[in-house]
Amino acid sequence: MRIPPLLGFLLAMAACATNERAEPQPTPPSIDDLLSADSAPKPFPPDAERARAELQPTGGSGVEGTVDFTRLGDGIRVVAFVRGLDDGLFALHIYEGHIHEGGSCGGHGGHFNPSGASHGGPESADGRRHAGDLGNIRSERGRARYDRIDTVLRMDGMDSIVGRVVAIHTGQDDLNTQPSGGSGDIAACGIIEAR
Amino acid sequence: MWRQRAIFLLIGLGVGIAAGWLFFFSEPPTTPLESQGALEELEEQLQNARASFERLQPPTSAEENSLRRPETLPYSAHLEIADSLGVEPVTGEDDISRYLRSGDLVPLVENEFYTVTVLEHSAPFVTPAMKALLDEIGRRFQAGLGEHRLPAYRFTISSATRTAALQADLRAGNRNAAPGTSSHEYGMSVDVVNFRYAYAQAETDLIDVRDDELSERINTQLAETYRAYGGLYWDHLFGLMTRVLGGLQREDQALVLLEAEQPVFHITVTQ
Repeated sequence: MRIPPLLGFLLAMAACATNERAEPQPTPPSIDDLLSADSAPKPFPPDAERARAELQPTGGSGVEGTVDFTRLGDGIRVVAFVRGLDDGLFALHIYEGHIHEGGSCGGHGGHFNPSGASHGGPESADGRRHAGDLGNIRSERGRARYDRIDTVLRMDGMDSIVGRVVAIHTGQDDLNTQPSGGSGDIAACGIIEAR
Repeated sequence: MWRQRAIFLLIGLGVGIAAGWLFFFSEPPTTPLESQGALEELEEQLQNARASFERLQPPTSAEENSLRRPETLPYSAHLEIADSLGVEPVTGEDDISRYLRSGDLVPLVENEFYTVTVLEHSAPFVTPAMKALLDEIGRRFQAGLGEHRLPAYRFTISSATRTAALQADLRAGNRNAAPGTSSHEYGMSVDVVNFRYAYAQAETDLIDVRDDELSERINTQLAETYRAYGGLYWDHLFGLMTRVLGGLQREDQALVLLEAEQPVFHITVTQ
């Protein structure tokens, strides 16, 4: 069908006006993106007030426990109880990985680091730690407790920790070695799930 | 012909004005002298800081002993004050939740005055009065540093409110822990580490360097060195903290006990 010139001009003007007002649209995922979706972030759960990770032993370590996250004002209270560790300090990290099929926390990626900072510890200055750098948990007589209000972690929006992996390591985080603190293998891990 | 001459004249005039504008109003390029100046400024600031730290005296024996037994009040006085002014002893997480809702306890979160370590035998909550005292300690501590032309440092809190279960657990693993009920169970006491001070980076500390890359390197070096000074001169910072806490004790705002078995000030708010 042939469009009269005046009508075509008006339609073109209307289209331009609409485009000027519209927000930029996100680029749709490519086929490659979709094929590699297993390693891509999964849709976020709704904002959470509370979340918990049940730590399961890896490789027969016998280490297990829980890590609870509770929103408190501008911070997140992190309380961990862990059993089965030798006495000493052991690294506790949140990884960027998301929920995997079957609930596995394998393929967890690097430390959760939405701001692109270097590795550090929970008391490091602003911009000098990954969000997932929770530091060390001390085990005495086979039991370990960690309690701290963290002002870097989030349980809402794109930087939410919900759905990511929290892990305890076989060694101490030296809070310095890049990018992982030289803290050894993973002794136990779990997925942070909203409660 | 005259038109061509006029055009050349105008072009020449324009080029001249542009060159003059650039000469007078553009920023001069970075020179090695500026780099050298920045390095000299860095060294001068660090030298001044070292001298200021040396002038900030560690505690005298008299100052330190005034916060130790037998010159300061015993632990039982802390417990008595906490029992009369604090919340009912916190038995567990349910009590903490209830006290948070009522406002009798508030979260203890790091701020410009202090950091809070990972707590192993306590929970990060205190009464509002304790929170106000901690902020006052921080204000006085940083004011004291400012008087000595030193950058700001934060002190470190290593223990806050304990539930009965956490206190029992601590006692099981630490024979030095006080027997019976602890003043920590009332939300009125904290422990402050006497040797850990964290540099609190501030905009005003930055050295103004024109070149961005050099600025990053110079100011990173400055911050790293100030951080290291927190450990190197910890006893000088300990001296200032001893004097700040001694003053607050004399003003009846706090009870302070420099513990013999642990490197901490045990502090109880009294108002």
